[in-house]
Amino acid sequence: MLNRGKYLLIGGAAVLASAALVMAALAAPTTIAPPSSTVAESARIDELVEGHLKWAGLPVAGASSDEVFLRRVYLDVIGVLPTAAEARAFLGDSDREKRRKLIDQLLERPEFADYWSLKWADLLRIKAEYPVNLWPKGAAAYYRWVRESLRANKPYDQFVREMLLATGSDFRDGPANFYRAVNKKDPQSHAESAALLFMGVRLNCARCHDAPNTKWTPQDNLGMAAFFGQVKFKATGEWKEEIVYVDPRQTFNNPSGHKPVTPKFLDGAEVKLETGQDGRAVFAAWLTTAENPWFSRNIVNRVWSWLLDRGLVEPPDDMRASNPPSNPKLLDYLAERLAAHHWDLKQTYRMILNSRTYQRSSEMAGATPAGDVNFARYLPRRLPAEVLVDAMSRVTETTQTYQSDIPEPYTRLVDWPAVKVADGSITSPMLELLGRPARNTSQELERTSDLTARQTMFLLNSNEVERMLREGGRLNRLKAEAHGGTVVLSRTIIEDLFLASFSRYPTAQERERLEGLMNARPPAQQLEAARDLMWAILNSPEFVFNH
Amino acid sequence: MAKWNENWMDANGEGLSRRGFLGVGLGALAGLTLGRRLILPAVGQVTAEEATSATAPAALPAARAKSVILLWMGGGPSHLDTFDPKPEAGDAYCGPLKKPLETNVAGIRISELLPLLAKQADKYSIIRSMTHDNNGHETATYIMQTGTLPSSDLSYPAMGAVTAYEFQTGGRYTGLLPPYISLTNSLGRFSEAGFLGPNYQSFATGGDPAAKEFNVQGLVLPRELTDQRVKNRMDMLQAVNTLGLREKNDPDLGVMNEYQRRAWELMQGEAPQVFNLATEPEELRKKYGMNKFGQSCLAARRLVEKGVPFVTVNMGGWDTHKENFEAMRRLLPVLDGGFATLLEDLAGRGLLESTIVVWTGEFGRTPKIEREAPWNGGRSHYGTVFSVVVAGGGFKGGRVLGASDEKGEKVKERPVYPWDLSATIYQLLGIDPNGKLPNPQGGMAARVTPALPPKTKSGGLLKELVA
Repeated sequence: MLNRGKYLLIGGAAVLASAALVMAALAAPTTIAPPSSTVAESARIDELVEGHLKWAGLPVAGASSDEVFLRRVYLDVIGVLPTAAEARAFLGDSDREKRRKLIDQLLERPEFADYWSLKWADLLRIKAEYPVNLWPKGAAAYYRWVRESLRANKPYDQFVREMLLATGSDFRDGPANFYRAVNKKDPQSHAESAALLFMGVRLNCARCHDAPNTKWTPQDNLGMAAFFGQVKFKATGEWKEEIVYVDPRQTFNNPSGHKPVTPKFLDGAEVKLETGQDGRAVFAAWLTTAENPWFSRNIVNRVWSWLLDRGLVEPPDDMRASNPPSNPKLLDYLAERLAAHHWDLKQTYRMILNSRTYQRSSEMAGATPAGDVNFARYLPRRLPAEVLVDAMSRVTETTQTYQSDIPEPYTRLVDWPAVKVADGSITSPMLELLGRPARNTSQELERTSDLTARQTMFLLNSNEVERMLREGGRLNRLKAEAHGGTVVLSRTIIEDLFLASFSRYPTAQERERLEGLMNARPPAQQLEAARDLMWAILNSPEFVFNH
Repeated sequence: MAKWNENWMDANGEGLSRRGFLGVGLGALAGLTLGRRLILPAVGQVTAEEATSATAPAALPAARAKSVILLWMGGGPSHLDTFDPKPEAGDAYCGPLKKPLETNVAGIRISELLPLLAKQADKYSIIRSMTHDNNGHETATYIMQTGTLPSSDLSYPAMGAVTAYEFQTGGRYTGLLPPYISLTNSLGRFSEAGFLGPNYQSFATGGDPAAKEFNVQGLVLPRELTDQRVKNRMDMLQAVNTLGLREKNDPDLGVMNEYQRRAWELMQGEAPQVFNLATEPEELRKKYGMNKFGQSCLAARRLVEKGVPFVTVNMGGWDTHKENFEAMRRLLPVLDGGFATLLEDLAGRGLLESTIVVWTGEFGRTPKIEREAPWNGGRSHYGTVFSVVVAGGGFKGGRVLGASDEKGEKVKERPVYPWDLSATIYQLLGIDPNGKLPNPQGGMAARVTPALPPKTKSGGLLKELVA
C-alpha cells in the first residue's frame, strides 16, 4: 500500500483528505457486474479489434508477462507503482484469475479516485490562477466534489448533469465552478466548454467563422449558447466569492445583432423555452441520453484513450465527420454497453482492462504505425509528470513539497503525493519540467506523453534527483546494515530495487553484472554504489516509461 | 574529460561521433521528438512545416537583431520612481524622490536612484505611454509577455517561446544551448510555452549566478560528481538498461537513449564554460553587482555571445503595495548596476547592434501614493499608463516615445499597446508578425500576432524608435 497514513498526517489538506477516507470506508461497495458479463464484453472488444487488424493484414503482439501487466495496470488504473511486497505476492500467486481479481481490487482503491480526479481536474481546469482564475477556495471546492463523485462512482450522466445544472457559491458548491472555469464567462464560452467536455465537439472556431473542418457555423455556436443565456453571476461580501444563479427572465441575444437567439441543438432541432424554464435543463435532458450520438461515444472514447494512449477517435476530443474513428463498431459497442450499465464508468474501465487488447505486450517485431493506430500492441508511454515524481519519491523513499506563491491564500503541501495536488497553481519546478499540463484549455492534448530532451537531462543531472538519492530513506537504512557481508547486501538491494521499480526480479545476468560492479567498490563505497544503482534505475527507460 | 562516454556509445551499438553530435545540439534536440504523435498527425492538423511555409517573408524587412534580453520586473515597477519622474506633481505623487537626474541626453530625466543608467541614456529609448488597462498580475503578465489579449480558447506562447520556435524551425539557431533561457526562474504566472507545448518552455537555470558555484539544472554537473563517479553510474545504467537496448528500434524508448547520449556531451562541452562567471574580470563582475540580478545580466550577455536567441532575466520584488520608497532604495541600485553595465558591456563588444534589450514589468503603479496604514507609503497596480525601456537590435537610443500626463495617470500622447511593442520586436528579429504558428486546435494556423478582438486599439509599429 501507498504510505497513505504518512501522507495524511502531515500537510494542510490532511483534514479534508482524512474525512474523505472515512467516508470511503463507510460507503457501501459499488455494484460490480458479474464476472461472466465482463468476460463476454472483453471478448467482444478483442473480437472487434482483432477483426479489424486481420482485415488490414496487420500482425498483433503477444500477451504481456505477469510482471509487465502488474506494473502497467497499477500505473494506468491508480497511478502508483506496486510495492516490492505487492509485486512478490502477485508474481507468486498461481491463481489463474489473478489478473481479473487485481483489476477489481484496483478499481476500488482510494487511489483510483485520486488518480482520476487528477485527469478530471485537468479537463475541468481546476486552477486558482491564469487563465480561469478560480481562486484557491473555488479550486478546492471543485476538486472536492470531483473526487467525491469518482469515489462514489457516481453514474456518469448524473456527474455531468450536476455540473450543467449547478448554481450557488463557487467557494461552497463545487460544481458551480463549471460556469467559472472558462476564460470569459459568457454563454458562448459555456456552450463551447460543454460541447468540448461532454460531446468531444470543438465549437470554438465557429464562434467567429464557418469552420469547414467541423461543419459548424456561427449559427450553431449561437444556438448552443442560447441554452446558457440565463446564467448570471453576482459578488458576495467575501473577497472573490461569486454566486452562480439562473435568471429565467433573461434571453440570449446575438452579440453582434442584439437580437434574441432561438436555442438550437447541434443535431439541428430548435427549441422554444417556456416562460421560466432553465435552458440548461433542456440541454442536459437532450444530452444525457443513450440516444444522443455524442454523449456516450465521447466518454468511452476518452476512457479508451486514457488506457490505450490513443483514442478510437484521435485526438479523443475532436469528434467530427472529417476525423472518423479507426474502429467505428468498437466505439459504438463501448457506448452501447455504458448506457446498458446505467452509466457505470468503472465497468467501461473493467471491460477494457480485462481485454486481451489491453494486456498485449508492447514489444513487437515489426511494429508499424498502422498497427499502432489499431492497437496491435500496447503503446509505451512516458509516465505522466505527477505519476513519475510519485514513483521516484516512492522508490527512493523521499518526500516532495508543492506550493503556490500566488494568489493568496498561499498554499504549501509538505510530504504530499503529486497526483493529489488539486489546484493547477500549486506546483514545483520539477513537476512543471516533467510536463504537468498548464490547464490553459480543456483539451486532452495539453498532457503529452512524449519525452523531451530537457526532461532527460533533468533526470541525469539535477539537484532534485541528487537530493532524492542523498536523502532517500531506503538507501540510508542500509547504512546501519552496511557492516554485513557485501555480497549479501548487494543481492538484497538489487532484488528490492528491481521489484519496487520494475515490478520484476532481476535476471541472472543483471544480478551478476550489478553484483560485480558493487563488489568492485571498496566497503566504504557501498552506500555510494547503491546510490549509483538507484540513479541508474531512475534513468532507465524501463522506469520512466509504462510499457 | 574521461573517455567513458565513447565506450558507452559503442555499447549501444551506434557510432555517433562527437563531431557529428556537436552539429546538432540541444537546440535541435528540442525539435527532435520522435514520438509517434508527431509521426501520426490527426486529420486536418497543421504541421510545423505547413505552418512555416505558409508565412510570407517576402515583404519583411531584413532582420536586425539576433537576440533578445528581456529584463522582466515581476510585480510591476513604478513608472514615477524609475523612468517617468514627476517632481512637479508634488509630494503626494513623487514622495521623497524629488530630484530626478539629467541624463547624458539633453532633456531626458530619470530617477535620482539610477545614476549609472543616467550615463547610458544615449543607448536606450524610453516609452512613457505603454497602456493595457489591466491591473491583475496574471492577466497583465500574459498580455505583456505574449503581446496578445486573453482569448476565449487559445493560450498564447510568450515572445521568448515564439522566438525559440521561429529560430529553430527556420534553422537560424542550431546551437547547443537551449534557445529560450530564464535566469534563474520561470515566471510562475502562466505557462510561457502556451500552445507551442513543452519543447518551447523556457529553460530555467535555477541556482544563483552570484554564488560561488552557479549550479545550472541539467547543464552543469555538481562538483562532487567526479569523472570516475559518472563512469560508475553509466556502468550501472548500462547493466540495468536492458529494456532500452532491447527496444532500441522503438521510437518512444529509443529517443531516451539518444537524448541521454547528447545531454552528456553537452554537459561536458561548452555549457559549464558559459555559466562559469569566474572567468570574467572581477572588476566587471562587481560593476554588474554581486547579486542575483547583476550576475544574471552578465550571464545573459555570455549566452547572447553564444547565439542564444532569447534570454529572460527575472527580477522580482516590485509589487510594492507597502513601503514603496524603502523598496525603491533597495531595488533601484541593484537594477542600476546590472542594467547599465549590461548596456555598456554589450555596446563595448559590438553586441548591442544585434541584441534587443527590453526592460518592463506587467504594469506600472498608482501614481498617487497610498499614505495610510497598512500601506504606509505604498503604490498599487496600474495598467493605465506605465514605462518600458528598449535598446539595441535596431532600436534607437536617446529617445522618449509618448508621454503620460502631468501626474503620470493617463496617456497624454502616442499610446503604445503591448502588441505594438511585440510586433516591432518580432519584426526586428526577422519574424513576420503576421506569420503563422502551428495551431494545436487543428484547422487554421494561429498567427504570431493573433487577430485581436474587434475595436482593439493600436498605436502601430514603433517606427519612431526603429533606426
